[in-house]
Amino acid sequence: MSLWVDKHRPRYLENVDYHIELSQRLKSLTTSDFPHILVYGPSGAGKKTRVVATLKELFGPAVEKIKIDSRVFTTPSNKKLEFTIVSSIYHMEITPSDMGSFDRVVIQDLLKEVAQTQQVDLQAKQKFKVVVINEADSLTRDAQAALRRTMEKYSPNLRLILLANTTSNIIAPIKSRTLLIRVAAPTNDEISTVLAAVSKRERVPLPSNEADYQTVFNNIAFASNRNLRKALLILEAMYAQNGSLNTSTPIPPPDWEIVITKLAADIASDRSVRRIVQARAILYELISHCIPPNIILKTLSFSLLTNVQPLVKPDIIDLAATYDHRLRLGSKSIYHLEAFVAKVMTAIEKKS
Amino acid sequence: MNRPTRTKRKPVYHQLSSDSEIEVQYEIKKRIGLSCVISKESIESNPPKSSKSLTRSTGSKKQTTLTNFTNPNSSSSAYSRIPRFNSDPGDVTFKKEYNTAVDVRWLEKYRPLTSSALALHPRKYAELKSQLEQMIRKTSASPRLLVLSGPAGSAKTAALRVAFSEITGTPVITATDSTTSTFDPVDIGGSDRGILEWSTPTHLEDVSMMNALQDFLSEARRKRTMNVTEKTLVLIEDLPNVFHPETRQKFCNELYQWLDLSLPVGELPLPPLVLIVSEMIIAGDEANGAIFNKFSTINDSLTVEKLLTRDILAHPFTQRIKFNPIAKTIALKSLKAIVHAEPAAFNNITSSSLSHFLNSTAEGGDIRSSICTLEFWAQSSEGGRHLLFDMPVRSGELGECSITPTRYHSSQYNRPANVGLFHAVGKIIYGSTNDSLASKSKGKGMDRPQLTDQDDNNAVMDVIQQWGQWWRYKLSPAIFENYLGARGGSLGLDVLGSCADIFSMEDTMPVALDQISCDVEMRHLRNKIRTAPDIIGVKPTISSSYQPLKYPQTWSMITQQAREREKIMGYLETTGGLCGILKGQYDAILYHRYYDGIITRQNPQVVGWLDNKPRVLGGGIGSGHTTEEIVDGKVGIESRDIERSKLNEDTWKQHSIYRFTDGDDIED
Repeated sequence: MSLWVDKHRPRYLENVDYHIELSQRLKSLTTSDFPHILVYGPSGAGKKTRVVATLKELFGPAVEKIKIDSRVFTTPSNKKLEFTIVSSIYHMEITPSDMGSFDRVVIQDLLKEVAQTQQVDLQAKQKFKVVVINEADSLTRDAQAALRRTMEKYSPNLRLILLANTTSNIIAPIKSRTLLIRVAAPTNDEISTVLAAVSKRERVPLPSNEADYQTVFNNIAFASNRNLRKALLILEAMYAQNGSLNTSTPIPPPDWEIVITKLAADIASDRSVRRIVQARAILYELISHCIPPNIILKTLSFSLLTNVQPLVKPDIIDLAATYDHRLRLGSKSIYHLEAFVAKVMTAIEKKS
Repeated sequence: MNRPTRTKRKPVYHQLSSDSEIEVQYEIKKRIGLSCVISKESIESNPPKSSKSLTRSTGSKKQTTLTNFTNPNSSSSAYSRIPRFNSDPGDVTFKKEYNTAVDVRWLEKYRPLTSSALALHPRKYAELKSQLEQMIRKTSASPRLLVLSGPAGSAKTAALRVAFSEITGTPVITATDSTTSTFDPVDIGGSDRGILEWSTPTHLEDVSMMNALQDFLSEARRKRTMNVTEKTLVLIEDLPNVFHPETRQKFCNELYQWLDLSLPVGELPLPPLVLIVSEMIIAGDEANGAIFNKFSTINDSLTVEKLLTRDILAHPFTQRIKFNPIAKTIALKSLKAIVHAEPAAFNNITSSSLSHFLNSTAEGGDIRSSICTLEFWAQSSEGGRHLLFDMPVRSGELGECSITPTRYHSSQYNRPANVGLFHAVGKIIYGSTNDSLASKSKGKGMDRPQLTDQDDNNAVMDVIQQWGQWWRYKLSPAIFENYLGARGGSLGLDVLGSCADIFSMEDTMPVALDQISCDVEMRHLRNKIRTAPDIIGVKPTISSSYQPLKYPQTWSMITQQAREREKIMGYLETTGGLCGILKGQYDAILYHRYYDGIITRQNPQVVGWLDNKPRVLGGGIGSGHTTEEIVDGKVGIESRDIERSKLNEDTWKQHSIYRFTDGDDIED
């Protein structure tokens, strides 16, 4: 038994609940010569679901027979690098963030390996293989440049599907060589519809009143921030905790969000050295739980915005932009996050 | 097992006889050098014989060696200045306090024989002695393992030997008096000296190193039953290769067994076991590329926390005494006593250059190195001019100069000024007045001495010289961890904001510019902190102007991150296999980590986690401490151990309670 979010994931392009015309376009792509594509959109919008469904359309059900293995790659500096590869006979899926700063070498190597072996299965619908690269926006510049060469060189045997949250971290040559497909976040109504369908299938006890019934889902959709994955997880967590759902069932936000929201409220209410020390402790904890620093910064900034006077808001946005950039440039995220906190405190003090 | 094999197990240095090897030994380690020492006792019992033989064997060689060092033309005068016990007896009381053997290196010659001659704070010595007494009394509740730790040359071994001799009433034994005091699995019963010392055999044929240690410890145990009245002490100073994780584990196991051994009623308690660890913190190594590699645990630093497992350190039978670097005043006292006892050697040296030298060498906190340097310095100088370095240091003229001549000295002769990490951090955060007249105003209550640009410059230069190359991975995180406490936590938010911004900015610099970044960061910070205006109405939250410094958490954070990431990876693989799609890492971290925890806790049938245990992966965030705790002063900036409990608990726990004190009163 798996989680609802996995269990009720649409398997075919026809079954996908929203962005219907996008699904149709993807389907029509599979009938012609399939290009390299770059699928982008916020987390929890259904990028991966669509990509997997497209692959199924391309190759048939065999793509679902995947094997997961971890490979060890030895870098030129003789360091062992372990990363996970998901593959079927028709496609391969990699996540470059496993590879740290060696992604260029690894990707080049892997792609070459895939591209140089032709499709052996004569029954195969397509003569190319597909490589799916998750989190393509976290690829280093170096790796992206290498990718661009590979795309040209091995195009007869290889198609790339890149998945990214935003295209702004992806270099222009790649953007121009791929078909850009945007998967927008579902609207709250769309989320509510999906939630309702899932609850019905899982026979979740719900309020009989039509208005309340809608409110429950709307609340979850709102709390999920238009992230369908989060919405489904919240739904299941609520059901697991309470056994039934009604309008008063508490919606649990993830723990890290609670912590950051609390921190923002604390900063807004009182500012001192002690508060910085406290903030640092929290930041350390978040970072050591692998919460990405830019997410911390983003969440913190947005919850600060709801807490401070209008006059300070531009300053906070300005600071957030500065330190977000620094986070990208530097390597010690705690420095930048703490500097952001300290600077925000100063800004609030000045304007109050 | 036959006889020849056993003899091979003897440490090789006991077989050393040639003089050249002895010379080499001096340089390597004091304990090895002991092989040609005659204890005070033996001199008194039959002085002529032993002193003669020693002069013959080592003295002559030493003279020739010195000739090589000094200018060939002056070799005859160098001879005459070589101190001799016979011709220059020194004053009587001094002789009794030190191991004034004949023509040996001063390090040996003035090895302390009484507690008053020890270069150690009396309080520390009293602590050691009382602990040891308790152990030797061998009650069933007395500790079994005493760990002495401290940097090299902090008088650990000397203090232990003196304390042991004072307790047992036996004369101070120098380790290699007789071969029997070192370990030989066969002849162990023969030792009558009291201290039973383990020395790692240099080669072994049929047993592993750790088995040899095991043999040694069980021999020591057996020996206790053989001789009831004797007061023995088992000493381990020579560590096996503890950088090899398995060896270290075995070593710890051995110690733990010793601690945990349950003795039948009526059986004699174990002899006290003393472990001496020369701690060293080697900066930088862990940083060189080991960051992203979860397999790598390379770190050449050696600390007690790293060496021993927590079981051992927390065991009720374990006692630990930490030694600090020798305080300058105490080291000076010992050095001056030596100068006093060796008037001949210092005939030609002006008193001002001598005092400059003593001051600079005593700063290092390493008494062993100081004595060696002193001897070498005295012998290589003539008429105030240094033959080797030809550096004029004359009286008066340079004495009060702002570019203190001692600095020049120290770079020539001294063990590099020992600016520990915490010391370096302190210099940046609190400033340092060591080299200026302003230091005289110190001690007047809470008043901070007025720091000048020159002071800051000196402080920063010192730090950069020592720690500049480790700025990125060690120094900067350490300062970052502590800068909030500068000026007793009374800095304004705007100042702290700009300080934090400095860190943030320097972090974005490319690695190639590290040197510059370091320089800029240090100076900028120091300047910001010094020039920051005091906030009116805000009293410093800390009563003293100095606070305990914290060890940077960056590394423990990275370790924990790696651990967490591994769990996430495991999770992804499991669920990926189940549902035919690999989840994104960040989705797993941000959402699945938490919600799967809740769902599987309620519904164990849901396959989320590999082991199916109802829990939130990696523990929930924010569960360790509530924000109220922090705000309610309990864990405020004063006790600053908020995070320690959470992130920092294992490796650096002890370090975080290090106290930083400025200047030379480290001992207090």
